[in-house]
Amino acid sequence: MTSLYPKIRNVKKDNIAIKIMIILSILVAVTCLITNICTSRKYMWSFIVIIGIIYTWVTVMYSIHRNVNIASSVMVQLIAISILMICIDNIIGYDGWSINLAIPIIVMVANTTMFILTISSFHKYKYAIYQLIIFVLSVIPLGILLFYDKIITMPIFTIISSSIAVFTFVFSLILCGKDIIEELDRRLHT
Amino acid sequence: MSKNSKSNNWRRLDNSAKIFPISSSKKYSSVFRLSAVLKEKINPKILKESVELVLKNLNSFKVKLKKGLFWYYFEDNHKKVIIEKEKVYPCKYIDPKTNNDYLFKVTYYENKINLDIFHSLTDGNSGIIFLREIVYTYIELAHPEDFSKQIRIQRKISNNTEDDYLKNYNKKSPKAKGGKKAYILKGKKLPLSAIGVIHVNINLEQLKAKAKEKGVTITQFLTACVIYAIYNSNYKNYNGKKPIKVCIPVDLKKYFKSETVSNFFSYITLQVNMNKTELLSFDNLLKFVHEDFNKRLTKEEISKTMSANVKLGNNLFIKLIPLFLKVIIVKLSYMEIRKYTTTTFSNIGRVGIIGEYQKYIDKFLMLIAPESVEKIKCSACSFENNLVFTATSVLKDTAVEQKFCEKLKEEGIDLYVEGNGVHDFTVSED
Repeated sequence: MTSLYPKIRNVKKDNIAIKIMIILSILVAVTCLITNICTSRKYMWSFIVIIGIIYTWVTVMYSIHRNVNIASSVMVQLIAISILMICIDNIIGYDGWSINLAIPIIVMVANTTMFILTISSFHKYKYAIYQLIIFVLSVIPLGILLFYDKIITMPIFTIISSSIAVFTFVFSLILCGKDIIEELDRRLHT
Repeated sequence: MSKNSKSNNWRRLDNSAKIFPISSSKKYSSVFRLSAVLKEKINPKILKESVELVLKNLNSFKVKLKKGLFWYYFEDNHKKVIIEKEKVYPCKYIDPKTNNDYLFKVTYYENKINLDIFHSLTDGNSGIIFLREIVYTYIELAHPEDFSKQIRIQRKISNNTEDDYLKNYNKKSPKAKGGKKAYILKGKKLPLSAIGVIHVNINLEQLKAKAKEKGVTITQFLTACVIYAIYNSNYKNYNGKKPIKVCIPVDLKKYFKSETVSNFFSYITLQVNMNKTELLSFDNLLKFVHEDFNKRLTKEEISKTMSANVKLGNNLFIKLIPLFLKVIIVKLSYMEIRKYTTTTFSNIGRVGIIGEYQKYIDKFLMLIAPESVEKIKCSACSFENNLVFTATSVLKDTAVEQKFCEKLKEEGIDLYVEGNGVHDFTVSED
């Protein structure tokens, strides 16, 4: 008579590499923070290290998830790098470069990527929901520029980046409008 | 909806299915297993070919789960299905990422084909249709000389995925009454997330005769045995105060016309207050179970529970809560909801098999995932003269299962026990 079940071994699969990396990250962050506090509190450079570690973890954790839509990675990077830039700008004594220059560049890169993705896969378009979110996020600086005139002091880059975002979105609508509507129908069904 | 959904290669989840992806996790897998034990060793290549062939007809199972803003939905899955040798405990969480996004998993071991299904996809009764098709196709491919084309093409299977809850629920149905919290089984848990499985192979003829003699159905008889076993081996020892509550899933296709292969089940909950001394004798307990079943298993009562659940899912306010918030709210409320059931007992009944195929099959098994609150879950299915009652457990001790077997033996019913080796289980001969 044959048995019904195999003997189960090694039930718990712990990812040791991830655990070591987490411990190392905490160790580096704490060491930098202590060194920073002990040497000089005037300039908190250790916060840049901590923010950098958090950004790296967001990227790594998102990337190791298989089957992730490439447009969702563009969206995550758009958000994560923007936050990273604003934090660094503030830590080193706010100069406004993050909002005036860095974020518009990030928006331009994200939308150019989406533009390329749209052209290369318009026959089987699957980025609609991320395209929409990226578009909304991309025009936020333009909204800030219109309603709070003191925050963005060099508007030219924001205007260019928002124009690229609008162009990419309209281009996608023309090329894949039906797919976008279908995708939104799926994603937003109640 | 279905017309639109089909052209777009996506479909909404049925009313029951909606809750499973929201409430499930590695700890609460919402997975059940259906197995077929054949009389020959499984050939993995033939099994893979069989599953691929079946999926061509039953393409409602060839889907992946996707997130929307308000609900999850199914979308066609074009990836290859993965067939593996069984190497983990049954009914474990199916991680779509390691399963080519499929919501079911086919594994094999020796003579056994396992089909683990995430409950969002379908219920036990439709799941058995899927498994049966895999088994039929496997046997045909393994024994081509015995199966002419005529035999092969005579099987007709429904691929209807309509949400029959919406078709059959009563908008004006009164609210179902809420009950008390249930007695939760006590005892030390197995280490390392292990799941113990005990299959009690019961002589069906003898069981039928005994149930007939007592004037009850097989499900009622087995339910009474489960309650009796819980009371005598766990409740009494831990001075239980709360009632023992057994959740019995009900196949709605018996009450409403339906051909769907999506979920279409409801449940009744038996509540036995063991502090009433008259229920301590088995015959009185059986009488109580019989009467309670008859009271609750009416179309009106079942419709009440079903309608309440459908109305909840259709509530505009609930519909418009974003999915990520639904997940938080449902997970928090399920921590409480789970305390309203002691155990579940699901009997899917006889697995009907076409004559020509019967000689290749030994038996069918059904298993439900136990969890940290409902520590033991019970299920049953029968084939020929063998009813297999299965208890899946996260408890270290097997006193409940032991008492259950002893009770059946005491009633003069022949049985033998098999398991997955987690528990050292034997039934005393007397």
